[in-house]
Amino acid sequence: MPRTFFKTIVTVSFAVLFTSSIALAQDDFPSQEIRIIVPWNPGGSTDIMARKILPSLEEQGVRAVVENMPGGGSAVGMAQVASAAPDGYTVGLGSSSILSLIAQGNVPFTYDSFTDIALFSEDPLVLLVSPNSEWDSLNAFMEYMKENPGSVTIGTPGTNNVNHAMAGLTGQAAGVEFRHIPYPGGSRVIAEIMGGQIDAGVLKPSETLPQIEADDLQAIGVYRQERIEALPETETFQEAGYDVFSSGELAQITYLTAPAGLDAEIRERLVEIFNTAILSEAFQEFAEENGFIAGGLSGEELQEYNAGLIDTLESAAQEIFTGD
Amino acid sequence: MSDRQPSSHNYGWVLGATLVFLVGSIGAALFLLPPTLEMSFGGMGRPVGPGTVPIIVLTLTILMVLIVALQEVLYFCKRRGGKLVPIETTSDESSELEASALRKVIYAVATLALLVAFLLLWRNTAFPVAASAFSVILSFCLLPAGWRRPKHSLSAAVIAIIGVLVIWLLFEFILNIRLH
Amino acid sequence: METISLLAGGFQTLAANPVGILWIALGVFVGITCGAIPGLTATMGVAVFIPITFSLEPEIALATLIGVYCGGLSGGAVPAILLNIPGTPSAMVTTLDGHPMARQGLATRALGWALVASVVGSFVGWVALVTMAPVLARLALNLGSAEYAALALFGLTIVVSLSGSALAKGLLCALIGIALSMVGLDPTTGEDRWTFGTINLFQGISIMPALIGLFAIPEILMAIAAPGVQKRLNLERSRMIPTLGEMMMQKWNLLRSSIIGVGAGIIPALGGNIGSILAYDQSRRFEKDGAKYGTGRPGGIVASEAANNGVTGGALIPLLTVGIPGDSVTAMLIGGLMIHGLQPGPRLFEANGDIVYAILAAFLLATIMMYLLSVVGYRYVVRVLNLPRHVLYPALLLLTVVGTYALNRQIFDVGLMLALGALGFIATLARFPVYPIVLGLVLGPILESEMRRALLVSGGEWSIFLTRPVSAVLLLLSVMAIVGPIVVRYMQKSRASRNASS
Repeated sequence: MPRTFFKTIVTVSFAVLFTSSIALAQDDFPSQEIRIIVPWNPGGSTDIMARKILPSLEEQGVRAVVENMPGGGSAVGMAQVASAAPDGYTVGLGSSSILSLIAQGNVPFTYDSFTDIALFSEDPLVLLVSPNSEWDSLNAFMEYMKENPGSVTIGTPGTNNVNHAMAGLTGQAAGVEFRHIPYPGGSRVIAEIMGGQIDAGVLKPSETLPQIEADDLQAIGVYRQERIEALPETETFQEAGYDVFSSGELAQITYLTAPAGLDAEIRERLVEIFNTAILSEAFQEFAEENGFIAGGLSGEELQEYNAGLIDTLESAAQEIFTGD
Repeated sequence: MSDRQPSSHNYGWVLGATLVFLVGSIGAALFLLPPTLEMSFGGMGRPVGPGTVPIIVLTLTILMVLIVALQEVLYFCKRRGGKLVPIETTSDESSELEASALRKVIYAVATLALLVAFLLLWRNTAFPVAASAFSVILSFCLLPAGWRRPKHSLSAAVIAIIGVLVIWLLFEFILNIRLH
Repeated sequence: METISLLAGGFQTLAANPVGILWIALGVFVGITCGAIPGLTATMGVAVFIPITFSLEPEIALATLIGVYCGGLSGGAVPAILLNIPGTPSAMVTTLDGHPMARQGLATRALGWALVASVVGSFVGWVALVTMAPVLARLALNLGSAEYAALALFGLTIVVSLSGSALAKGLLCALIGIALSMVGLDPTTGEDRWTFGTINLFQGISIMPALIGLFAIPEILMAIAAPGVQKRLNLERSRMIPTLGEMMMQKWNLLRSSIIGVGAGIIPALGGNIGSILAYDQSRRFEKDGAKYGTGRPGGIVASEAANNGVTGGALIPLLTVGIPGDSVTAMLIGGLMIHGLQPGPRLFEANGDIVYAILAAFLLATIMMYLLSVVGYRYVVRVLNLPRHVLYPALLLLTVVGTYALNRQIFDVGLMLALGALGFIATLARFPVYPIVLGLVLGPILESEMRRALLVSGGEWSIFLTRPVSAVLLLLSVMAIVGPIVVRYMQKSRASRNASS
């Protein structure tokens, strides 16, 4: 009798301890350091964004560390995220770059390998020309394009990505061919527009605001449904009467994601933690200064949004990217 | 860049290495040819496509391999024919100080094998363990023959492990780069 | 004149901040160390320091990073001279004359030359930055892809002039280097080139694993195999720093090479490696003892080192004036500026002029510190040559492995480095020159991508390379550079045979 009693006590205590430790573990998430993988070089815009939210995370009592893992156009770092243990301690900053790569099937993982957490930033794209050029409005530029099929040069940072897609859609809206010139990065595009080597470029406000303000660049059209706060004078393509969203809306985004198979409660917790950081005053101010829109979507909504982006990119890939 | 002529007992190895290098180059070039031919080569607005330069590079490589091979054959014949006397020693390449080529190859292969073993060990265990094993083994091999006695061996091993720890600390804690 | 008073203001800001000055000194020290250790580079040093500087005041943070960069570039000469292993990619050509000098027992003097050249290069860059930045930056914007392609081609012609009679071998190696650079996703169309689906190869073979694999590994492997009797090198006790007279003999070399370095830094598409290559090539042609480069002439060291430090000042010019980074390190500095609330761009001088001038003042300070720290440190560093082999080589190998791993945290890179190391070893054994492989790896992509881009812009017209004046001139120089040495040698041979027969 005493032995059975004893055994029962031990079993029950273990059971209680066990379940409470699970509960505690979840309550206590995160109890370790969270690795935020940034699949780009340090000092780049994504890296800066990640580091900008660290203070806010600290305020919430969350320890996190940024790990740079550049390579493969963010494929290497994101592959690491996809293959990490889904315990919530490894997350990564995905972007439209990886979505483009997934859409073209260039990486050995699919979108199902991820659980999205929160949207960090949305950079609406802008069409820019040199102020010394003959075009001072979107209409003037589009007219010029129509009159000179196949000779207008539009530069983008990278190829087969969102910028390229928007450039292609611009050409489609004008109904003519043009010359797409890919560059290794946004700075080169800026330099070439300023130097008059190319006619126009598709870039984000965050990398061009200083030059726009100094009158070295001119933004003539924004690829969005409404005008953006950072550039209130720039009209949208819709306003000028050009439909560039025939396959769906596109913007450059950066978002936090985790490996697939993440526990729902942990996902909730992560969404809470990071949304607080993203919507914090400090980060919103940073966003305003740099011309991007911080936050908005999270969790399932974000997952659906991204799936939609991938669809748009897939159809863009068919029409615009092949053999261009 | 050096036009020094190898001494006769090294020439065999030099020739062998040249052969490996040339065969390897032409082999790689031929191996890469089929995938390259499948690349796109550009059209009207873009005369140079992704495949153009690779094809040119591969073709030129094959050409250069043949030219170099021809040169080596001519050189070989000249040596055999006695027209060139192989220089035995020059001021900075006296045979006491330069190792024989055979020795070089053996040591190189062994060291590379050790490095590969180190990488595999690192993957499966932790950095300090794998690195210490590597350092200790290598430094033992490099100890001058007269040193291979217990006292000296032990101090060499200790120095090696200290070196590993220093490097590990440097990266993990100061540079904040996780080594796992 | 206004500049001087603004600068004075900058110096005052610094003087009021002794802790800040210490940070800059720390940065320079760390930079020199990173550059001097094969496996670590200046770029890595800056990358690591960026988060560390977040909590500092903006001018100190930026100045520290610039200090790391300066120090790193000059420190790269140390292993290049002592061990024939470049510590940074831009020190590659320093090995060509630096190591032979060390083998002749003149290691300390070689380091002295490298230091002097680095300081002069950095200073010339500073002068350009302070006096002519806006003008130069705008001028550089006039260059387009055609010019970059022509410049890359011109840089590749150095293989011809340096190979001498082993021309075929040199060309073969250069081709192998170019072939290696083709691996990866095509930058223009995204098409897969020779990657066979390996993600790690999508961005191509980066220069660090290649540099270490092709230079450091064979060198270390050969040294390991050397007979056990270690000759204790007589480290010459004479002056490290060359006399003023000797320096004046190199004055044109110093000036020209620094300017080439600054130019390479200003141009956004080019980086430090190319600057030192071009400067070395030009010095070979124009200096009186140029023909003897490669045997241990100080001029070779001077050309390379002055150029690679000129890049720092040069790369800051477009960054601070128009917000466009001049090279990959300054691209990281953009992030550094932004995190401190500074917007890199044309308005930077207006909006934050006092901070910018403090940064400029600090840059000069960093250069001076680089000199002081090195003068003291180099004497000790030379002793590395006399370290027992069983300590030195395991440590070096470990550092190269860990350094390569630290780049992207991928063991793949280390494997790649070892594979290239085996290639480099076989090449060295077979008496093939290794440096053209790296040259091809660095310049090949620039040549190809810029040429294709130029053709895209022109709509397929090849004439663009000749109708644009700068491009045409560079192409002409390239042709002369290729044909010249061959013609000269042919004329010498025919003259010699005529003399013999007469």
